[in-house]
Amino acid sequence: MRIVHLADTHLGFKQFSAMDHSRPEPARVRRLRRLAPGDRDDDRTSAGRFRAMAEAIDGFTRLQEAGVPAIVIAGNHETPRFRSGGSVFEVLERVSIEAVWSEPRTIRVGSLALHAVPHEPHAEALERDILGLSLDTSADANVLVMHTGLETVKSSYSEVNQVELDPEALTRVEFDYIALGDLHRFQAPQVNAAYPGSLERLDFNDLDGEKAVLEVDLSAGAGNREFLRRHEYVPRLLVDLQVDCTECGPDVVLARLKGEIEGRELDGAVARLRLEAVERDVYHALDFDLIDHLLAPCLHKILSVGRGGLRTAGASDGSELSFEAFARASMPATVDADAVVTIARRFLDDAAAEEAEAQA
Amino acid sequence: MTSSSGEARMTPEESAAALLDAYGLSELQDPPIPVDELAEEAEGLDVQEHPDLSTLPGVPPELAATTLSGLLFPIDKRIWVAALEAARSSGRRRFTIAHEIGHWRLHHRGQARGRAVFCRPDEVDGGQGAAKKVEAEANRFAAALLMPGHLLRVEAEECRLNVGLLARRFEVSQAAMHVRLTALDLLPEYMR
Repeated sequence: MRIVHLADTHLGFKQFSAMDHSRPEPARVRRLRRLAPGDRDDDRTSAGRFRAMAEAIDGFTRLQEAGVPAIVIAGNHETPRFRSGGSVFEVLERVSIEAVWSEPRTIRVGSLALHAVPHEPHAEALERDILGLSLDTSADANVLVMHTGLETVKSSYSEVNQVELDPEALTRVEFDYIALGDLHRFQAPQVNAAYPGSLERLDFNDLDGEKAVLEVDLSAGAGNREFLRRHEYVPRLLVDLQVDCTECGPDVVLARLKGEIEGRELDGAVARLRLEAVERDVYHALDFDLIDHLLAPCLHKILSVGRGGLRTAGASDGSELSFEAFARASMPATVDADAVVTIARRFLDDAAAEEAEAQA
Repeated sequence: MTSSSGEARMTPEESAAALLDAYGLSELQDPPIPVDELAEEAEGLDVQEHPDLSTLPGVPPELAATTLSGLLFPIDKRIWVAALEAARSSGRRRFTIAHEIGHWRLHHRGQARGRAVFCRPDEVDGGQGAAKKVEAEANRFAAALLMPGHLLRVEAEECRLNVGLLARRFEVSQAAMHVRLTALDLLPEYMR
């Protein structure tokens, strides 16, 4: 008896960036694209989440037609962000996909019992949900499907609503397999439990580790070589482009961008262009159509104005430099100052870039 | 393999088992192994911490700019542990102490004038293995002392080979636990 396990699709949730920077398209262009849906230009339309959803529903439909049951559970992103928008799972249920997103449910598929536990934002509630499950003794195999981090598995990547379960809880339940989601790289934290990893590298902090789809042979039994087979694949390319704009006019910025791009593989990639130390007037004078053209081979592009945001000519950058000096001087000896500074700078980068982009 | 000197004809693993046995821990039911007690009460080694080991008296000038994780001064019967590493990770601290006990038992005990041992971070390494033979032996000793095979097998079965949980129970780093489980051939291929 085999199951296929994949996780962290981020369906219906933001992908690659907090904001979508694609420029609005003229209606005539959109009409043309609707006439030619196979055109790869269509992939570059701004609403990537809806396109991904459409492809996912196509895939689920093909599975249904082939008689392969599919079950999905809610992860940490499936709380509706706006009441008016509702949950992506309402869409999945409309097309008869078995979606578990409100409370734990056991689903019998032939001789297999699948215990699906949707994400809870509190570890205690999640643990109660798991320990409250009863094995189906009439089934040939019992599988727990859940979405959680573990206290003992550290990740360089963090997300909103993540919870970390005490791993002792997983030793108190007797499932043949525990299909985990949440952490974005493949790993098997215990002999009968695994994270496949996300289907894509979902932003520029999600660079570590391998991604996979897992094939689990339940009849082989945990610990045997045949139990878990990794189907690895290469996720979409992320390209980080940085241009130092210090004291540069718009023409020099674009020339440097061309130099940065030269020889880089961009086809189908997600590109982030960071314009470091760019002055406000220079930024507004940039030829964005040319930037669009240069990055046209990319599936998606993210324009960032780097740490510190847009600058006003002549303004001091002392505040940016003082953070690290302050942190290092004030850190207790027992704290790894490098690690703290690295994490803090990452957050500051993201926050400053978002703020500056909003202003721009 | 035999140790380089000291407990001749004993492998590092045998020496660790002998120490546990001598201290009545060979049938221990629950981890962690009390490594401080073993150092101080079983072996008579004083364990101290210091923020910069390279500045301690007795450290040769050529190591003045070197980061050190642990020191063994056999004549003083003293182990020094880097305080910063110890504060960051109790697992690291415990492994360093066990590593220096390994040097004591395998390479220095019984010698009238044992030379001091200065161990760099990459030599006290539960995860990667050390290049020098004596350091590799001390690491094997430390792994066997902190994660005895009989106890680890029982716990591994109970924890369903959850490496992070086992590391927490034995108070060692996950890297050290992973290496030990691999050495004992307990991990299936998909967990390596």
